[in-house]
Formats: sequence, structure tokens, C-alpha cells
Amino acid sequence: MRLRIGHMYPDLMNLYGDRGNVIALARRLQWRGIEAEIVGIAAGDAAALGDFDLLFMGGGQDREQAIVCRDLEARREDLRRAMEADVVLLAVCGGYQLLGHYYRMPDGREIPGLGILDLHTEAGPTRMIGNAACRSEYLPEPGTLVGFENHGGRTYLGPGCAPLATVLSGHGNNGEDGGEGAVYRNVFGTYLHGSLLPKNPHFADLLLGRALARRGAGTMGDPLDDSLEWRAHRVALGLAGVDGREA
Amino acid sequence: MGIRARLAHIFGKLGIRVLRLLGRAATTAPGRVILAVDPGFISRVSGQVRHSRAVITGTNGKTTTAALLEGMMAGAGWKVVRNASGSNMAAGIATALVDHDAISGCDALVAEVDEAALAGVAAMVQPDLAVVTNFFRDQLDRYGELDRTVDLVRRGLERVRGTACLNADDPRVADLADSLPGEVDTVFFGLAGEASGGERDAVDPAAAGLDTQFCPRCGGRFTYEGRVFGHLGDYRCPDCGWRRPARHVVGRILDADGAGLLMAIDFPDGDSLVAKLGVPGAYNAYNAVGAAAAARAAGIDGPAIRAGLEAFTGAFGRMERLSLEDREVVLALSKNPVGFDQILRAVADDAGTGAVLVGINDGHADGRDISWLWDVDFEMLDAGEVPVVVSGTRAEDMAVRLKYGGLDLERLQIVGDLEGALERAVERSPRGARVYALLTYTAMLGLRERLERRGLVGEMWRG
Repeated sequence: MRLRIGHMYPDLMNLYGDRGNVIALARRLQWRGIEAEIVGIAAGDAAALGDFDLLFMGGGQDREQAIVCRDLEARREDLRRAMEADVVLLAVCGGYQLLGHYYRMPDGREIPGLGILDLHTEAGPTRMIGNAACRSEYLPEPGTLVGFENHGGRTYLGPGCAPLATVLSGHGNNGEDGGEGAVYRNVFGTYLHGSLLPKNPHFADLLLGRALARRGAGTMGDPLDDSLEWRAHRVALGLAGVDGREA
Repeated sequence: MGIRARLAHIFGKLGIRVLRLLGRAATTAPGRVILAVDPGFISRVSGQVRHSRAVITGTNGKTTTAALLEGMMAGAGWKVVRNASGSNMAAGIATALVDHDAISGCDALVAEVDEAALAGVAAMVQPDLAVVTNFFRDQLDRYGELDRTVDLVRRGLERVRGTACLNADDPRVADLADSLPGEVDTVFFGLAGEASGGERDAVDPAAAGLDTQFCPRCGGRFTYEGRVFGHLGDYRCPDCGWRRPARHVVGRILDADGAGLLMAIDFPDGDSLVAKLGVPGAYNAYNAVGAAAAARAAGIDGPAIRAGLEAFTGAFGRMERLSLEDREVVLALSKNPVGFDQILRAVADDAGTGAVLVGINDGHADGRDISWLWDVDFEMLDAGEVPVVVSGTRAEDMAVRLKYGGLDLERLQIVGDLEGALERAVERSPRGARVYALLTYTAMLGLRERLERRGLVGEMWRG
């Protein structure tokens, strides 16, 4: 078994150490004896997104994101087909926002997104920054996700997707409705950096499990020793002001 | 000098003395008192400086560049006031002015200034000399994107009169030249690629994951003829043709080892010098050439510049060395990916490395977001067998980073308390070997304070 992981725009969408997510996915496959092929997808590359098992996209600076936006426009249909074929996608922060219908600037202008997730984002007056924790029904016990959020946009979900998690501490999607991230089929969006997956191993395994299931692999084998990861997870819960037991 | 400034000076002096009796470093708090008593204190006192008021800013190298410039000026016999502790906002500068009795006169003020504080500080100091070192991504939770940091510095430079020394090898720094006030002289400095020991081949910036890849003028993607490290090098924009400006002061690394550098510096008048620098790494060569460019602009002659370079042994926490139980401990401030990578390279290249301590805190001054650890090439530690001890408020995150970097877990140990962690690293290192302590800013302050109490390092306010 061999999984193909596409890292979308590793050179442009690389703002907050999000490449740690790709490192985590690759290592966790390797530790299970499953081969991982990591492919960087740059702007202008001819890549068939449906040929991947798992895609990752992080966040970038405005200048870089504008370039990505133009490139994604040409990939819109390819990406949509891949999503309908249940290719697994994790998008963080800026990448998450790009999957929605549009981003509304402070002056009211709307930058169109891909419209893959039924959500839109509005620029806010302040940035929402800090350690954050939430709980997701998609995850096995303890179900908590921990990370660091740093975003000015407020994201509002439509009926076509569900929040990934409920905020325990921090702002989540918009600081209003208590939701964090979004899920549609095998597409996951979130505001959490950290990097997210290394200290949320259950989420990493959820993504890998779905990618493997899609390829017909029934089980992931013996669980890994994640004691170090959970120690870091508990420290991050504490920093977000959440008691591990109450979570 | 008016009564108000004198009063502020006396209050500040008192504050410094009391805090130091309590064993505190007293680098910022007294400054707040001074500025409360006399908000105009910094501009009043800097108005009395006889020769030069220099501000030094940029992401990396501020403290070392400032310390080198101070040494060069001292080499010329000047009395220099510098905020030696890295306390680089207005309160830190006010503290330094009082601590060094600038009120009774001095020849130069050398202030390293936080990028975000530059505009405010420059309005008070009225600098006649500025150095901008480089722009790397650092503490995004405090400053936001790099573009914003560059804008803050651009605004600060509007207050400068005299000379601005800009790192020509960094496109974002070089681009500042065009927005300087008309009467300001620009001095571009940089490193020669040929002998720098850096990556000399033509480089695809996309493959290298650089912090700056795009032309600030037209948005085109740079190509590189040669690169020293990161995005520093000989860049050119294929779209608008903008390229690295011609440099006035150029450094060349002639020889390098784990302990230091032998370098040559060429000045525009054909003058040139060769000096031994007691700190390693191409990033320190940049600091040396930046400081030399500034010193020359301030009228310091070659022999004094050379003396300043050779007398330098490391600024506060920048490759500072001390001896502990027959091991040499090297303290290295490591606060963002590119700085960290440079130090890891030095650690990996040093055959005498016996153990490594990595101390990661997430205090306000460190940046509360530690995501950047995933942008550091800790994989450089995988080769070899030296033990690695992790510590600090984010020790567990650091341990996870090393695990996913591929480090053999047998080599890894978590010790939350920094002093205990250093002791453990020393224990696990062979006698006579070097123990590198790579620390974020508050981790450095915390550990150094304990080492000071044990008399192992000098007091940091003496720099």
C-alpha cells in the first residue's frame, strides 16, 4: 500500500509552520509500514488532483494568496471532482477560507473562492489570536482538538457543511456561533495552527483512515505509541484554559 | 538639562539600584518610571550626544550588530551608551541612558530598536544613523505579516537624518532605499557570495521555501545568481529587471570554523581590512559588515573598526560561552526559523558537540504561537548520537517536533525546569565537550538569571 499526499502550494501557503501537518501524515504512515509519496503542487504545475489520496493546503500572506487564488481558479473543476470522489483534503486558515464562496473585504469587495465548501468569510475589525481548544464529534475520545488561531476573517457556514468542532476556548470560525472549522464529505477546514496534526494524533489518524478506507484498506494496524503527542496535547489544553478532565 | 530630566534621571537611577539589589536585571521597568516623570527624557538626553545617534533594527542580528558598532566606537575612544540587554523599546532605551549616565554627556548612543517601536523611538532619538539588518518571518502573532513589519520600519526610517545602512542582499531591506527622505545617504552593504561558504548555485526560490520570493516592486518571482542563506543573496526580478543594488561595503568570509570567522571588509574608498571575529556563522558576517558600514559612516577609522571586531566575543546570549563542570556551555538565542537553522548548522558542524539543550518558551516576548518550530530544520540533529534535552514551557511540543523530525527517542529527554535541563545536558555530555543551549528569548533570560546568581556569567546589563 502506498498513499499519495499532495502538498498544495508548499512555497506560497507556508505561513505558520503548517508543513508540520504533512510531516505528521507522512511519519504516521511510515511508522505503520505504509509508504507515503509526498508531492508538492506549485502554481502552474500540471497535476491531476484526483490522482491523490490526500491533499493539504495551509495559509499564506495576502500577496502569495492572490497568486494561489488565480491558480486555483483553473483547478476548480478538477478539485471539485476530486472532492466528490472523496479524496481527503485538509485546509488550514487561508486555505480553508479559499474553499468557501467568497471573502468579503472591509470595503465590501468580494474575492470569489472555490465554492467547494458552503461557507463565506468576512474581514473583521480585529484579529482573533491565541491558544484554542475545541471538541469534535468526528473524533474518538477525548475528542479535543488543540492549536493556535490567528485570523482576521470571520467564517460563516451555510447548511451545506457542518462545523468540525465546538469551541471550548478561543474564537473558532467567527467568535459568535461556537463553531470551529467545517466538514463536507472528506473535506476538512480549520483555523487551527500548531502545527495541528502532530499534537492531535487522533485527527491525523482520522484523515489517514479515511484515505486508506477509500482505497479499500480495512484497518490501520496496531495503534502507535502516542504518549508524547498526548503530553503535548494536554499542555496545549492547559494553555487554552481547558481542564483535560472537563474536556 | 532641566529639572524634570534630572528628576527622572534620579528616579531611574534609584529604581535600577533597588531592582538590582533584589537580583533583578532592571532593563525595562525603570525606563517606565523615567518616561512617566519626563516623557521627553529620551529626546532631551539624546540631544546632548556629541557625535552619533544610531538606531539598529531588523529581524535578526540587532543585538550583535549594535554590540559590534559599540565596540568599534569604543575602539576610537568614544564613550558609548547602548541598550545592551536586548530591551529594545522606548523604556529599555531610557533605562540605558540613565544607567550609563548619558545625562552628563556621551559621544554616541547605539540603540537596537524593535521593528514595531522604531517610529516612536526614532521620533525621540532623532537618529543620524540607521542600520536595517534583514527581514525574516518572526512572531507573526505579534506583528502580523512580514509586509506589515516592513511598513513599520519604513515609517520609522522617515525620521532618520544622515545615513541609512541597508542590507542590499535582502530585497525587502534594499527596497527601503527609495522611500528614505531625500537628504539621507544610503550605504548598501552585503556579503560576497564567492567565498562565503554559502549556497552558491543558482537557486529556484520556490524549491527553497524562502520568506521573500517576490519582487516588492512588481510581484515577479526572483531568480538568484547566488545565495548566502535564506533569501539573502544576488537576486534579480525577471519581470521588471530590478536587481540587488551595487554595494558600497562588502564583506568576504576568508575562513570559518566552529569558533569564528576570518573576514575581509572592503569600503567604497578602496580601503579594506581583515579581521578575526570570535563568533561563527554567515549571519554574524552580515552583522559584522553592517556594523562596519555604520561605523565608517560615523567617521570611525579602519583600525578602530578592526579592534571592535576582534574584541567581540558574543553579545548577551548570542553564542556566549561559559564553563561548567569541565564542559564548555554555549548559550545561543534562537528565536525564529532562519536564525535557528543557522545555529543548528553550527552545532551539527562542530565535532566537539557533546549535548544539546533546546529551551522553548511561549511568553509574549517569545511569541505565544510556537508553530514556527515546524519550519526549523531540526532534522539536522538526526545524524550523530549526541543527547538532546528539551525544556521550557513548550518542552512537550519541542519533543514532538524532534520525534517527527526522526530523532531517535533514546537520545531525547524532557526536563521542564531550564536549570535542571542544563545540568542534565551537561551530565550527559562527555567532559571537555561543548554543550549547546538553544533558547528562546525568555528562556534565555530565565536561565541566564540563574547562572548569574551562581556567578557563571556576567551581569547582562553590562552586556
